[in-house]
Amino acid sequence: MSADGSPPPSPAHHRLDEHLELLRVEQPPADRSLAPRIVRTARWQRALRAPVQVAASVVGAVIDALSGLIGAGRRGPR
Amino acid sequence: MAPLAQPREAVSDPDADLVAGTLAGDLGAFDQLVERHQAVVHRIAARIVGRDEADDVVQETFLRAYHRLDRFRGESPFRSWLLQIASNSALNAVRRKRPEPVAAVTEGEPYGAERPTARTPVSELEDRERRERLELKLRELRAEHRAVLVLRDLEGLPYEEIADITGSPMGSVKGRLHRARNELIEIMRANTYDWELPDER
Repeated sequence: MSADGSPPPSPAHHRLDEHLELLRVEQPPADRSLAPRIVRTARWQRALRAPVQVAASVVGAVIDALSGLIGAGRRGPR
Repeated sequence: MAPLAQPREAVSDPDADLVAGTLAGDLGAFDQLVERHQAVVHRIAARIVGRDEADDVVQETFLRAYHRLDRFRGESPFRSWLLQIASNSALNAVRRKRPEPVAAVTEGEPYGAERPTARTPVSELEDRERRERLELKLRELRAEHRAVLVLRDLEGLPYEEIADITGSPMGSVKGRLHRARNELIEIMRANTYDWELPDER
């Protein structure tokens, strides 16, 4: 734990390292189906991304146009 | 998706080709990136948030990476960039979570442990129980301390990479790690059954 120029580890740090070794040697089991699930999700999210972006642009443009019309109406002929 | 920007150190990054492939729309390349890094991301997530929520953090990490890949500039290796996302996702999950009922776990009945069977060697069983108690103790650490301790003392990452991942200067990483170790020692000292070391104070 101390190959970094820091002070030499105390007995307590040595003891801690012994405990942590228990965790280092044991790997939490990963779910084998996770990788395919992630890729499937990425696939459909990618498929949705472009239409959603287009829809958002259209909605934004409509709101801008309506705001312009309403603003023009309020300023209207005096 | 935007084409890959010329990374500064792409040549030294073993993932550069797969990153470029993913950016070009090749989901097979992304699949390989997931396969290659899933284990380390899962280990880090499990140590920070606990095994029950690790899969969610892993999924969130890779999907975020996928959707933000066009922002990856290659200034650090892809793995460090990915682990930065993993660490942030895990820390966010910890913040969203309610406090864990750590105190409710008794020494004789570690959470999630299978009942001993006649065929299980005693030492193996004891190790597993100690490991589970240690994982719970680890989760009593403050989240930022926990993350640095996991990255350094469990994953063995160099300080430079941890500084990249946490977005902190290396001096802060070392200081945080020192405090994390001392905090964990104090937590474990409260459990003399595991610690078995005369109090030095």
